[in-house]
Amino acid sequence: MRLRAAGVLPRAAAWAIDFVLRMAVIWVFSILLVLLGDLGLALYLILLFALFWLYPVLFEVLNDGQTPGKRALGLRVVNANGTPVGWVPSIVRNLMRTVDMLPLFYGFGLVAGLIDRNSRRFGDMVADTLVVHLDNPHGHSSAPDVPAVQSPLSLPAADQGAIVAFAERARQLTPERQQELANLLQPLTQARGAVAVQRLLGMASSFLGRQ
Amino acid sequence: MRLDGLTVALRQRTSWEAADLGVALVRRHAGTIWLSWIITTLPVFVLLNLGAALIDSVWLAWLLLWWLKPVFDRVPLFVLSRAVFGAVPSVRETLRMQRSWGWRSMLGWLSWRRLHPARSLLLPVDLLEGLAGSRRSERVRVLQRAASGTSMLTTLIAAHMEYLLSVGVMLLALMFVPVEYFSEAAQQFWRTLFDDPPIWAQCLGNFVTWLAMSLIEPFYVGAGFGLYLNRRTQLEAWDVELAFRRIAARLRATATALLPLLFGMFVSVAAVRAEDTSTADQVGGAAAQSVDAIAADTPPQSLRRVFAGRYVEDAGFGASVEQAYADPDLSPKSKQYVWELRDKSKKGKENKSPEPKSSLQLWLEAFGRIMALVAENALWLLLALLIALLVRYHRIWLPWISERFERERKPDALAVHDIALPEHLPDDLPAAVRALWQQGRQREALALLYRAAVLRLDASLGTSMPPGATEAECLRRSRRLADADYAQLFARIVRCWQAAAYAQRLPDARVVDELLAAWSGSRSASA
Repeated sequence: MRLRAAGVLPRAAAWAIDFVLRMAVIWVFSILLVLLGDLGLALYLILLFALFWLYPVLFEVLNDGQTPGKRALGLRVVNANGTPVGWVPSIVRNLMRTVDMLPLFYGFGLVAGLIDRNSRRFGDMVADTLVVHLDNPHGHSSAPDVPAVQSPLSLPAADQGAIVAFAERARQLTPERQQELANLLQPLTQARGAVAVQRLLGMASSFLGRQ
Repeated sequence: MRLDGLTVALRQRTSWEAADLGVALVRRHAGTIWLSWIITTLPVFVLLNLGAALIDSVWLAWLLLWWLKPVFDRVPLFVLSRAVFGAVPSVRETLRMQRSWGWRSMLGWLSWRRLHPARSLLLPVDLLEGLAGSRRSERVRVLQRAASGTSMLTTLIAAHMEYLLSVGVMLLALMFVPVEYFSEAAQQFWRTLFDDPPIWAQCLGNFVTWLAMSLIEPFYVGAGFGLYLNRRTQLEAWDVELAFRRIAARLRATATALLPLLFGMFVSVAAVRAEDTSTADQVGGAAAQSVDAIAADTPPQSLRRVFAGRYVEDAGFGASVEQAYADPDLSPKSKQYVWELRDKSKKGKENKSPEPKSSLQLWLEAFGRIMALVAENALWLLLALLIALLVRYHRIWLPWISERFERERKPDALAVHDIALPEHLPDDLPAAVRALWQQGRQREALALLYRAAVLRLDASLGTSMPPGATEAECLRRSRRLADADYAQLFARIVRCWQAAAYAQRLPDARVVDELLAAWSGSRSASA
């Protein structure tokens, strides 16, 4: 399994989104709670505590490792071995924010994330967690729907994948570039130019199991 | 450009992943990058600060250093652009190249493009591709189409990181002050650094800024380079090209002998597929039969059939199969504890043993059952009565229901009767009224009659009705009539007209005849 660790830039963006969300909640509630006097102050402090300490933990454990900000950026918290993050690692990595946020706005966490190979802040190192990019969900193939052409040779899966990738991205390429690429596979297609492109697209269709 | 030399794994990446790739590249070549960076920027920093201190405006050094960022950006970009193709330059080479490399586009980047939000994405266009004019703007447009958002956010985030880091470094000093001296130290700190800083403090501030910039800027350039690389990969399918070259090389090596054959296969593929469809049913049928046969076999039989005469009964094999099945790994057992709803009725039944019932008991039970039946039906009747009453009196008890429904009900369509009144009354009024009545235009007939009656009232009173006078006003005026007969007739006509006009209740034809007869009579009497 490949885990693609997320760097400080997307993580900072995700944190900013979470921060704005939490500030919005605090803002709305502080307007309501100020009407309740001392009780309101008590509730306000409880809300502050919950938003800054429980919010990340609850979202990470119950929402598949994603706070709203991380979801927006396509990130996820996992254990270092790729398994979903549990209560203890999540609590540890979030409690360690007290260290990471020193001396100001995650200064330590930022430097640690820049230096570490997997962009871990101290909290991640202690809890042995990672923030990773989500796998792109591979749903319906965007390869053009052309009649299938049987490949004259049986190709290994990686090569089939390359030809399917060519078909899926053909629309983004200029026609010249398509032909240039298809000409590389002349030993397979026995053709050049537009015919080669068509044969490759047909093979991609057959690899995708289309008729 | 030789893609074969690429040292990064090319594939489809999201923009943020691409930025991370750039950051990772910077980390990988950190030694070369930062050594070259420091050797390039530190002398500039020192010279700028010296010069600024001489003219007593140290802030100018800070501004100039910030302004010169695009020039310094060339250092990490040079290293990255060479390293990504496998030719990691040495520090010496990097420094030598700084003198000549990429100065051409610096005029733009130091003036009108200095505040460009996607600087790190577009610097490679100028420095690595060296395009100019319309080709450059076309290239920039295509590159920015999918990557400018991330690129701008990267700039924003990197700028924040830099400023927060420089403030953070200053606060770090305060963190080491013991608590009892803290407030004094903080005041001193503020006075020295911000209130009225001496020249050395200003230079120190600049130095901290330079430190933060030195940490962040190469990463920022790297992120932009990653975005650039990813965008080129998307646009030109570099990863596909690499894979295709690999496939082609392998095919050339292994299948040279097969090439003529391959071409023939292309031609025959279509024919084979046509045959496939015709034989598919037979093949499918045969396969289904054999599957059925296998399913019917019990394991020993199928073994005998497979091995035909050579099958040897082996007790050891059977035992080891048993053992394998008994292995807890193969059929793991686990205990689970779950909450289940307690079934009370079952327990009660088990405990109670049925006792023989006396005749009195039986009689009481029967009586109870009858009473229950009566009471139940009485309750149902009560409910029906309640519902009936509710339906009958809901307007009074539950006015909100009728309000709801009446509001939703559309008003009746407005009946517009376009009554074309003649300018002058016909000479023979009764005949005209009768004619209208018989044509089915009863309302118009009555209207004509009413109008004639009003005009006659006017005539006999010698006054004229104000326009818009109501029927009630006409009636009131008719009381002043000397002719009591006509007053009575007028009242009847008005009532008839009102009933027809406002309640849509038309009088009988007989009543109209009577009215007309009375009209003719009184007319002739008065005439």
